[in-house]
Amino acid sequence: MAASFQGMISALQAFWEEQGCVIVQPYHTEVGAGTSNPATLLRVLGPEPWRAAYVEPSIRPDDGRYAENPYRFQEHYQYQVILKPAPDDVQELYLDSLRAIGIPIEQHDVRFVEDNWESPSLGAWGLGWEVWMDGMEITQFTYFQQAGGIELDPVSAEITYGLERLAMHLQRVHRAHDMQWGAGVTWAAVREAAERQFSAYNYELADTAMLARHFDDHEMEAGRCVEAGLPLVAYDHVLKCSHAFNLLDSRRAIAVTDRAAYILRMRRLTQAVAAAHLEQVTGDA
Amino acid sequence: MPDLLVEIGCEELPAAHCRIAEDALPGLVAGELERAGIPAAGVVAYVAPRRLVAIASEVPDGREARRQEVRGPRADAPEQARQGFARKHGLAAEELEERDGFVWAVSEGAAVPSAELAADVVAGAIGRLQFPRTMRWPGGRFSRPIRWLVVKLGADVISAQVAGVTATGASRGPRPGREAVPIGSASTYLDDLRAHGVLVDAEERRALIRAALAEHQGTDPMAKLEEVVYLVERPRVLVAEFPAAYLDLPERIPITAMQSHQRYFPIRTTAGALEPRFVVVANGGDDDVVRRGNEEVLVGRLDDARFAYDRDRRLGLAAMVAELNRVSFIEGGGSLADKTARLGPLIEALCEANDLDAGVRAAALRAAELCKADLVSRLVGEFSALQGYAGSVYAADAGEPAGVCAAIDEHHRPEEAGGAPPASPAGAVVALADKGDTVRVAFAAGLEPTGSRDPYGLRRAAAGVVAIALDRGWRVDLPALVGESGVGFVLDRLEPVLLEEGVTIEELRAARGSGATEPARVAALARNLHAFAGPRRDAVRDAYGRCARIAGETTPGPVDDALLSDPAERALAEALAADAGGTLDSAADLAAAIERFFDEVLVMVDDEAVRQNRLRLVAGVRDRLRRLGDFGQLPG
Repeated sequence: MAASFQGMISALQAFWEEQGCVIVQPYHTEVGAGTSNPATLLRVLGPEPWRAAYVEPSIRPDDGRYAENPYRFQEHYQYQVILKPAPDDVQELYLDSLRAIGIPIEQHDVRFVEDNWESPSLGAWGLGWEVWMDGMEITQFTYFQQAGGIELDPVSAEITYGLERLAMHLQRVHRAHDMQWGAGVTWAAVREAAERQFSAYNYELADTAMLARHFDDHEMEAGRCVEAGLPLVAYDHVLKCSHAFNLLDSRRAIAVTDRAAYILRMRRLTQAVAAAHLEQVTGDA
Repeated sequence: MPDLLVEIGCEELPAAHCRIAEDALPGLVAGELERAGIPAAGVVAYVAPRRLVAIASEVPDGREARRQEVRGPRADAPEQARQGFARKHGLAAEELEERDGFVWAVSEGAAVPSAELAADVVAGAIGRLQFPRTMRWPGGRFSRPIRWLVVKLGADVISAQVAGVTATGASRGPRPGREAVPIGSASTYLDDLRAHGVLVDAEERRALIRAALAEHQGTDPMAKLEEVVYLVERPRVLVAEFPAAYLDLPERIPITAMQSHQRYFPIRTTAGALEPRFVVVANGGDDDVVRRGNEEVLVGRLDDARFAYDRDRRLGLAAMVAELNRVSFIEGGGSLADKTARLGPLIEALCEANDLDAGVRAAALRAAELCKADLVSRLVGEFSALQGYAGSVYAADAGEPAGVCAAIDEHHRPEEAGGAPPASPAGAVVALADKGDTVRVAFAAGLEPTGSRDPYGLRRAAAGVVAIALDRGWRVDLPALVGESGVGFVLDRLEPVLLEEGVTIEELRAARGSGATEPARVAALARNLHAFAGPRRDAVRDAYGRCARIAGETTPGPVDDALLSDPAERALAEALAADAGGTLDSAADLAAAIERFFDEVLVMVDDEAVRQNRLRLVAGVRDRLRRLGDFGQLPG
């Protein structure tokens, strides 16, 4: 019997805990990816070693499909690992983690295929691969080069598992709906209703005037917090801006001419937060 | 003499970087050996995704002693300076030699065995390897992290160091195993790894995959083979299946689902029908497990494609067109709706200039309104390679005429350098207008490509303008199409096309120097200059040169017949008047008349009126010749 979704997560937690990772928790406000969790984006700055692992709900309003698509959702789950500095045997560690969740990798075709990553609104980019197992993309693997506009030294390795895909592949099911979550409950029982409702909200109902206001308010608040020497708090407000932007986008409420400007505003804020945070942790003036 | 083996073990390198290294390594290693004084008989490279390998054959055993002389301070310099200089070169002060008023440190320099030079050779060659984009990791900077290094000179391990990695005599086998693979020497290297299933030589992998594709009737319409060769080092070719029900989809949809991201090879029957089977090139694993996994992945992609296709057809093309005002084109270029609106006048001008009939004009104008609609379709969202095609399928659904559908499909062509241009005139007109508009908007916004970065695909767009103009032989008013600032950039794309035909760069420069900007006209001039190469062209070039020198800044103007006294100048004026100004043959006649004119007539006479009249005549000849090309660019 293939591992349940939750069993797979437990195995990953145990494996990475064994590797000296802090098991932190999902962030408490919406993020598009585990990268945006401050446990990654801010902790990769500066020289201090850091190893962390966590599940992160990835909230992407525009990926919602009213639960009609077999594996595309506005809320899916990532398993995020950040290793700073990137260890020499990081690829082997990753392959061992697949063994740990019960994948006999000798029987599979596991490959690292070039794929580079960039986030203009985070001022971040890295080089690496998507990992294929028998042609299925199961993980994003990145050597982080820059975050918040700051060159990273030392470089961190970021491993992001796509949990639903991995579990579906292990369980040999073709729709997430049929995937065993755990305790005899399927994905559909846990998530389907929410996917429908949030898809409807994201595409049809969300109040765009309110969202635009929220963006402006959180932007201003982020600026105030940076000024006050509270970059961790400021970053929360940046994330809230980012989610408001994503919702506006899924409501098709961002005019062509405004799009680049919104992204630039978020990048500027992230850069200010990153600089302030780095200054605090390194004590540099 | 021993062979030198260098294997740089890396985390998986991008396929494009593999090819770069394969081309560059032999020259770099040969160059470093040369510099070290131990030139090899030859260097070959082998590349697989996790290893870059160079084998230098017959490396000399060592470098002969080199006498070295270094000039020091003046002979009358203070003792302190002499001692410092001697110490720097490992000598005592009294060992310095005196000559020409200076002291010299002279060392005979011992012979150095190659084993002591090889480490620097390896570090030097790796350091000089250039990639378009590199990354940092805790240890170094390269295409991807370097994790092991094998360097052997004959049977001996050379302990070279690169990026914190010290060379050993042991390579690594294929993933996911971790066993060390001891390497005997350069001559056993390929076999040592082959014993573990690794084919290091790309040519061997290519041949194996090609043979398997031929055997199973696998096809490669989107040209993925060259990439796949560098995605595997232990190729396993499998034939897999998918449910035949997906063959209901328009053919390019399943083909794109197989090829675009997954790099599978579709199988066709001998009669050409698409089969519900495909070829997978894997990198190991259990055949049945890997086949089944890939089949499931493809079914997922085909499901996505069908979902997207059905949703798009329910929505309909008109609704997609209505969405275009929400999608931005490039900075300063408004929305895609704005872009399509700009195409109309460009299409009208192209049709007018080339006498295209009303049917072509109507089809092109309609296609322009619809050609970007599929950019908001779900199908193109899933598979960007289907842009154009998806739009044509939905246009056919909407009852658009076949000519309009074809023009929508074709307007992205040529897809790559040397690719097929649009097949229909309407497709060609829309493609020219679309690509021209992209170049114009980008240049107006200051977004021209810099170095290797070309995020808006402007080189491809410009090359497309040139390719279509030449293919059709159409008159294309470039300043109007791409704006004054984009003209030179577009005409630069003529270079690879014409040089490939044998036209020289000087001939192309001369043709561009004519001032012509229509690509087909410039190409025709360059080809004519090339065909006309020889003594007669040289005569025209020389005649042009003399005219240009004498006329200087003079601008041509009416020549006063009454002031023409000499028979040679009358003959030249008549020749100029008679010359229709089109061909290099007539230019050669004109050249003969100039020849005689300069032999028999003095231009710089004292009589101001006569002198100016003659200068105007010469300037007129110069400008007439220049219409055929700036002959001053041609080698003398």
